[in-house]
Amino acid sequence: MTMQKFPSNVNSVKSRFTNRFLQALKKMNKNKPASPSIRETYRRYHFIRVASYASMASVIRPRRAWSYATLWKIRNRALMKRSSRARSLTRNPRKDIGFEQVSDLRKLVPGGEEMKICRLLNETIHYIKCLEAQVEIMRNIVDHCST
Amino acid sequence: MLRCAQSTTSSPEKYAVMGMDMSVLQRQRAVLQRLYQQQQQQQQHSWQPQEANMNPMFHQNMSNLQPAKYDQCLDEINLPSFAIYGREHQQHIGFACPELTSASHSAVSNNSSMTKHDHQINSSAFKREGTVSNSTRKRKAEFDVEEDGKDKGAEREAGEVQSEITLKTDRETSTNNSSKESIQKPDYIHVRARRGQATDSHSLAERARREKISKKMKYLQDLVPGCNKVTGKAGMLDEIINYVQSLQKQVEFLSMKLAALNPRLDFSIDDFFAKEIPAYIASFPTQLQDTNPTNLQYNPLQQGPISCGVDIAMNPTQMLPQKEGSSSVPTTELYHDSSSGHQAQMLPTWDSEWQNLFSVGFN
Repeated sequence: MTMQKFPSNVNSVKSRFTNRFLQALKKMNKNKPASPSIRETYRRYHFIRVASYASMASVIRPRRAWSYATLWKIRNRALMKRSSRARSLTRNPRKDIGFEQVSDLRKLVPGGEEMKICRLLNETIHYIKCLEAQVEIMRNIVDHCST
Repeated sequence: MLRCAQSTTSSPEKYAVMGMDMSVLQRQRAVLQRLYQQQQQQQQHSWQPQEANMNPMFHQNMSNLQPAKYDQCLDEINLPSFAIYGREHQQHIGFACPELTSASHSAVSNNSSMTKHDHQINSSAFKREGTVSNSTRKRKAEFDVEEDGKDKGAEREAGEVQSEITLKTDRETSTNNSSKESIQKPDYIHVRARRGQATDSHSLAERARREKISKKMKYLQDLVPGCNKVTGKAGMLDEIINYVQSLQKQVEFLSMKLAALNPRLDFSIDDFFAKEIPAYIASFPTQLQDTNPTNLQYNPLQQGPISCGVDIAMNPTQMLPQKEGSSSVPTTELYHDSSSGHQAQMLPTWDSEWQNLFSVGFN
């Protein structure tokens, strides 16, 4: 697996993400009628948030560790929705030669729990780039819809 | 020692007599052959008279320990094989270390043309054998080789000698810089060490790893806005963590906005698909600039939550006129929301806030 630090084709990633995300939104609107109640809004918010992360991760494919971890988490959440929530396995935390912030970074980046620092930084770079693209597209959609 | 230099073509039975391990010696000698083809012309004439004297001198001078000559001898020595020879002798003849070094030094004292850093290499080799005198300490500061002790495998010694040899040749040809280059042997990775740094294989790997990490941190520094002012890994890691957190909060906020916008979403999305997307995608590079101001607002966000945290409990709508962009307001709110915990609690107030936003207008 080539460890690319950045998505080599950012624009294609963005366009693919846009397509998938809009499709997810469309599907959501079709299934449930749009009601302005708070609960529905909250549910929609939750769905939209998961959909945005899922569509970005599926665009990247499980090629990167963070996208793989995101998709895995979503799948597990879907599987465990009906059954009782099992506690996540507490594995041994990875000891860091670096600073304390590294452990915080591990919690932020999905799938960063058991990586070495070197790989964690790689994943962080790629994750930040994809997050920036995601935020930008979502903001554009919101701006477009609000006008 | 000199015998070793000349013994690039000598028969192996000399060493067979001593009961040497052939493979290591053969490899070392092969490398040395290539190295000293350049230098042999210079040194042969000075060494040939020594060759006959080597053996008897070696045994005779065992008793004549002359540490005073050490400095002179070191200046004149020009043979990494000296180290090998010394070590071989130590292994198979069993002479004591100090006697060996001083005796062999006195044997070589007559040589003239030697370069300086070769003696440094030799001093490092002798240091490994455990001899530490003041002169070696001085040169150790210049060319710091860690002492690993005497319990090493032969391969390790060969590897280190080879790394030293490549150090020597590299220094001769070019200036100091650290880069990885592989020479003939595929077994060893030859790394050029900087001046004053250890050439231990472990420390070399450590240094390579550290350089990789620092390279990535520099890349992150360019990526994360506002990282230029902060120096040091800890501060930069803090900035990176804050930036990732703010990006995630922005995603949450925007998804909440989309959820609130939902009634109008159906109509707009179809239009979006049909007409907007090609033009939208084409305008991606220009829109990158639009996100920069919001990213620049990221830094004030850090001071924001502290002041906003007081207000938010009172009345979120009061924050609206204070900020410029609509996107920045809820990010500060969200910044505080995460700390307060559950977001559903904020929903009742948010609902009214959305109504205000709709009425005021996003622009």
